[in-house]
Amino acid sequence: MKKRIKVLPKSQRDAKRYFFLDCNFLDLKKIKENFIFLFGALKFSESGFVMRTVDKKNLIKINRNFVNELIFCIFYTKKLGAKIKVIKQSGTLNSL
Amino acid sequence: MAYFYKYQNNYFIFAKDAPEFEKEKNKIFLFKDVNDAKLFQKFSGNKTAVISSSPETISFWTKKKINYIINPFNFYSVGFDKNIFSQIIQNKIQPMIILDKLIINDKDKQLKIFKHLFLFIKLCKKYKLPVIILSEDLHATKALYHILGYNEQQAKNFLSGFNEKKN
Repeated sequence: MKKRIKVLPKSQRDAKRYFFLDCNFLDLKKIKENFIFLFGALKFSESGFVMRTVDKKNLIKINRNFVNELIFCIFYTKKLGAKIKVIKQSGTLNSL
Repeated sequence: MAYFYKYQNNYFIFAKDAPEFEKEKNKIFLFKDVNDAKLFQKFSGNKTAVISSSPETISFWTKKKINYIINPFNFYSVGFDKNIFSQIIQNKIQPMIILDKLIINDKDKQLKIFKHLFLFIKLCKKYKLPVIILSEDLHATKALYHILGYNEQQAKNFLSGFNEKKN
């Protein structure tokens, strides 16, 4: 018997794979730098994650596997005095 | 009023500053080194904690059965040995990480602190010791629990343990 495979629309597939974070006063370079510093040195290689801006320049898109690292990294960057305000995120930690 | 840290309604106060906080209800009294021992008697019925990165100091206070050990490492710390860990377990002392106090503006030292944090948590997991992580940003706390390999439920249990004890 043929197995029916449900295919999600591309936009939904993308949404599941990636995590979006909408920030204000964002210094993406700084966050990226800190991300590599904290987790590149401790755990991952630099090529292990992709983090890029989409559409508007204050929206971060990141592979879901690294979302906790990103949230922690934003906390760290803020603690060091950078002005970042998270406006919206595509999912809560509970739903990850 | 000079307090070390405030989490929700809980004040973390160095024992010598206690008189300033007489009116506050939820207090955790902090002890830094062995010289504070003479103050300890006064506070033995309260919640107490040692804040130190020195294994000797931690060991000293552990024997006095304080309730918590806070941020028990530093960028130059040497790490824990099995003996101190078994003391911590035997005396039912809970490790507590105050995240906001671990962020510093020196990259080399910062990296060492985080390495020590990760190693410390690894030991806590090995000995099944719950770790309380506090931060002014709850998202960051949860994220760190996940990064350290705990799930949402474990994180909630660890934190609720702290809140219940305080109320």
